[in-house]
Amino acid sequence: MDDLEAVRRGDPGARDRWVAAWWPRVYRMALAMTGREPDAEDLAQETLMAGLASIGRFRGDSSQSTWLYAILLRKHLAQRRRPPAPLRPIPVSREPEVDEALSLLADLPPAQKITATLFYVEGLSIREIAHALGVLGPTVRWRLYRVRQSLKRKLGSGAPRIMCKELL
Amino acid sequence: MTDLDDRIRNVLGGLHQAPVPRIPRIRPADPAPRSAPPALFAAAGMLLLLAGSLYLLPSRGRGPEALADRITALESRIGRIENEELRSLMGRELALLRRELELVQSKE
Repeated sequence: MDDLEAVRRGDPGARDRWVAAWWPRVYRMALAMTGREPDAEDLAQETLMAGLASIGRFRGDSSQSTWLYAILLRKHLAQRRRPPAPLRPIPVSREPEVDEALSLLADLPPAQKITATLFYVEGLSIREIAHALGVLGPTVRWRLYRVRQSLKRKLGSGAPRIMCKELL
Repeated sequence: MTDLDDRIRNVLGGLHQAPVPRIPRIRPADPAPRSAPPALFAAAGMLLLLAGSLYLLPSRGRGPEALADRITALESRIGRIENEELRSLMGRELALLRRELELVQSKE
């Protein structure tokens, strides 16, 4: 990721390396958001294209990941506002673990979905998530609370809820 | 971390098993050549039409009824104009016409 300056200058090699470095993470996040591989591929491509187009304006106030996730969320919400495209077949056979993860996220609203993925999968802190999504820390905490309420039901947990240290 | 957090993290961690498709060739979109936005041309055109209708047509009457008709027409047109600047100009024109109507009525 230290190729940032070269990417900004428009060096094609640096751009390819930058895309290659971010592609798996952005794709996985897109998969978590869309729940479908073909849609995730489109969303990840759109996100990285937008990232490349605006990388000159990236001031480094946040990490590149939070900046890219913010773009991804905007693109995802824009995709959802468009008329639905015809469903394309899912070309790969899914691992059961992937299927389970996607089913767990499936019914969450987009804001909760991305919050849960950033927190539980990417391991971002509440502050980083707030920065990426352009919301306040308490909003992230509230979304995580709702996520836990919803997923607790899905996971069939009867365990009493104890807030983790970071959520307090 | 609670047991619930751990369970959520474990299940969602399954996303790491997702096969990642081949990296596509991604290029930023070429910036479109800068040109005046169509709305600007439309606004300029409507401004010219407005000027023509207000100043150049000799057959327009200046009596209170003609002025009132023009005010009504302009009021209904303003509602359909989306361009902020043009709407503001038409608003000023409307104010002038209303003032003119007041003056004509006060003379009568």
